[in-house]
Amino acid sequence: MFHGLRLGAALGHDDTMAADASLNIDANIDVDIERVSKRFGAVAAVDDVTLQIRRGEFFSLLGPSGCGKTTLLRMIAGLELPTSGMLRIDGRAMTHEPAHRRPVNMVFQHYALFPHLSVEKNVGFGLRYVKGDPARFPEGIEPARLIDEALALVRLQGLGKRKPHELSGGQRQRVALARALVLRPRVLLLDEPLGALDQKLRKEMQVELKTLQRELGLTFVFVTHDQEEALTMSDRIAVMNAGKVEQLDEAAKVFESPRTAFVATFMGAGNFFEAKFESKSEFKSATAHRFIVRPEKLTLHAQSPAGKLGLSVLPVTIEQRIYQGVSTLWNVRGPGNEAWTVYEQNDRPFVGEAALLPGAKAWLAWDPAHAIALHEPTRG
Amino acid sequence: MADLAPRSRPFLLLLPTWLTLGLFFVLPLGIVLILSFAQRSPTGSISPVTDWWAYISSGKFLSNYAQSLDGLYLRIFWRSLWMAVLTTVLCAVIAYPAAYYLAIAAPTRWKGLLLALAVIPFWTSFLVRTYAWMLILRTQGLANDLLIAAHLIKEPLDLLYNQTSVMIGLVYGELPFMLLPVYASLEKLDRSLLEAASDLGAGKWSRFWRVTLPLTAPGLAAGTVLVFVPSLGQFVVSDLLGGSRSMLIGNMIQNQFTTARNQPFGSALALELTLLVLLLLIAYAAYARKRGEELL
Amino acid sequence: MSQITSKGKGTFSASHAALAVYTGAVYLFLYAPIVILIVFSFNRAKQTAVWEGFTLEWYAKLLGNAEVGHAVVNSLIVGGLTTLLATLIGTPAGLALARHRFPGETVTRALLYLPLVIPEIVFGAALVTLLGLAGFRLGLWSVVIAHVVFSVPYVAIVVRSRLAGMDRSLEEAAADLGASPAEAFRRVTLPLLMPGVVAAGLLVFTLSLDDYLITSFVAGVGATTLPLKIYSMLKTGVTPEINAVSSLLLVVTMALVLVAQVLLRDPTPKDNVR
Repeated sequence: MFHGLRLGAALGHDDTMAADASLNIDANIDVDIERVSKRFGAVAAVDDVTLQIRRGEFFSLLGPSGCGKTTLLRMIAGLELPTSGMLRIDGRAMTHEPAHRRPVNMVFQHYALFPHLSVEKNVGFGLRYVKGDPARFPEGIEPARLIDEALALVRLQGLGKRKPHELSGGQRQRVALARALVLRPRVLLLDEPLGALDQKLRKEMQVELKTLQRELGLTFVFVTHDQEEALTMSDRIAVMNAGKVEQLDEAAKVFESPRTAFVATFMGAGNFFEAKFESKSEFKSATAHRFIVRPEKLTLHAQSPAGKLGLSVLPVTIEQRIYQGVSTLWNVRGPGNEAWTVYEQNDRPFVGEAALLPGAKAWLAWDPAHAIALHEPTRG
Repeated sequence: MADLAPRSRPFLLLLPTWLTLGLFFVLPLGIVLILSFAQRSPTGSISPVTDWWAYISSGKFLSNYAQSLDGLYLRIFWRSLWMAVLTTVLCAVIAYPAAYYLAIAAPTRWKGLLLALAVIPFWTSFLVRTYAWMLILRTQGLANDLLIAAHLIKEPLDLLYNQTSVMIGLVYGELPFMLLPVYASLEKLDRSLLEAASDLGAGKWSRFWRVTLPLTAPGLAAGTVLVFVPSLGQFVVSDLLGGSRSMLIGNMIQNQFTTARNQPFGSALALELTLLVLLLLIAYAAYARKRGEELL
Repeated sequence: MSQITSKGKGTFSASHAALAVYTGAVYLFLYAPIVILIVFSFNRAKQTAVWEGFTLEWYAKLLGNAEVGHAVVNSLIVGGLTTLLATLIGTPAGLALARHRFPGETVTRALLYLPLVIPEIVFGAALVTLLGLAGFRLGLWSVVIAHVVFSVPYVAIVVRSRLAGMDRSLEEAAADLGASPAEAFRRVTLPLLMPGVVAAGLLVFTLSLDDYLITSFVAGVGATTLPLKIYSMLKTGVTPEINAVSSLLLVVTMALVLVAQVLLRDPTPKDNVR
């Protein structure tokens, strides 16, 4: 798919870092964020965040708008300076280093292509600043060739003479990518780069970006508010809320076992209930816990399935049934008038379907194994 | 309004404007154009042409233009031109950093006030603002008083009625006309482009030369037009702050229409001035069109 | 200026402080002469720039100066008539330019911009030549004509840009709600347009009040406006009375411009008109 293997090889940095191991720095960490905060007046946009981004991984910062994810990314780029905390990139302290002296490059949200420069001049913009840097350009290749290679990498050969306004949104996005990649950054930062594209192009670019990242073996830090996008592309995800990291885990783990109610809700699981563990063990206390069950793990029954062993069962009233083609969404109310969402694949005929109309009584059932205990205290 | 046929409506709306400008702006300029080919009679009116063929074939109709190429007038033209150029350059150099501060660095709560303060001189009496400098620069003016009080000089200096004082007056008068368009272009500048330049490795100055300046060139161009044109046709500043040796085209034209009573020659000078201005405007329009195609 | 905040960037401080100081100096350059002028209008000293104490003497003298009084009246008459006529003529033109497509549009635009860019001295000389040839007696009316000519483009441009910044769907909504075009104009367009028209009127009044150069060509005997009067006074020498009358003119125009600015604030016109 990509023809930039030469550039890719160059980007797979040689391991000169091994020598640094004596300095007690983990050579596998590209970005090391330690207790970083950013305050704008009284508001903490980023609040005491500590995390490490590993070499070669696709790392996503996920959260709603205003959660601090973009501010954190901009601090890695050097476009914002932290109010407090430490930031290391590639083992070197970079907390107060200005943006133009950091070995990272960014793909901006709206691409930020220079409107007065052609595509190739945009891509070549930063080359004059790194040319003398033998660590990044050991061979001293001609700038024109580097630009051509970068354009080929994002499949934009032949468009070098165009101006940004003559390109489609998807093409502009690729120019922004090429402009950053040509500088062989240690880490590539992407600030919601797919946000301005339509749904179809977005899906294509997700795959393309992921492939590119894997082939180049480059560290990507990706900011998005779209949980599906983060799940599709990331190796690890940091879910952020109100300036803090709520959960940092492998993509599947964030989805399967959210640690907090916020993460659970943000990942699309909306059913909470409180319960006590029956057996005491060293990890599980007998006090009440909050649990969540994902909507797709629930089933609705016209008759009580209590006879089936091991199922948790709850009597509910059906409020609404929304047919969605491949699936059906139900809104139901439990005995305490609490709202539940049930999401069922339309892969089998419903049992006693006529009975499951709005207003009808029904039974909600799930396998207790699918109930996930949250790592936070119960509410009041 | 509803009763008017939609197609004729714009014409009716525009008719008063067309009439006003046609009758009292285009027509006078046309008359000046014709007059510039005429001759002044000894009494100060326009001498009638008896033999049209002889008048044209002898080249006499161009005599006013020929006269304007005389050394004295050419010198005044030249002086007006370079003073206008210098005014424009000085205004650009002085205004740009201030406009940059206003647009990019100024604290938000001060911005409104600073901007309003920049706009006000735009509209206040040019005459009074020029007069203020007479007050400062004259022999018994503030500048001399302060210099004497500071024991820097013993006798008052001749600060007024020379080319420097005219230059000060021109820059002072025209500065707001550079400040505002440059500010507008800086304000429009997409900040993420500056960030992108930093991100790609450009330091402060490199970023300025490669991104900020090229992208705010339209503002500088507009400011150049707004400053250069009135500086070239300046009358008040050179009349009040200048001496006999800092006469500009404007004073020369005014002189021909009043004291010298040579309307044909004055017309020729006025047209030459207009031509210079129009040339600049055409160049600007061409630049703006090229720019517009690139940006839109 | 201890803490400079700006959106997005956090990497400067020292260079921005230097810029702030520089900008302060530019504003000082712009305003010091004006402030000095106003301060001196209250200075008891007659000849020197030395402060000899506060006095209202020069303002009192102005009140007793019949010629200045006459000039003020002339200026107000010219300014009032100019504002009225220029607004009546220019507003429909701005409306047509903003809301209609028609042949000759480009020519009309050029015609409107031309008076703004042709050197004033050329226009003044040309107009007086025409009026002379037509046998028109110079007086207040010739001044009004000249002022209307250079004011109409301002009104048209301000009104046009005000309308251009106005959502067209408002008029469409009025039509959708049953208003005839005339009613839509009266009940929607006009009220929204009015602040722009008033602001344009104020600016035009200011321009008329301030104009010296063009007026000096076309003003006949007895049609001396305030700038003409000031000019002739200061040609004979700097006097404290000039300071007083200049200060008054400055304060009045500044007030008018401030009001106009407030009226024009939303939506902001995009044109940088001169």
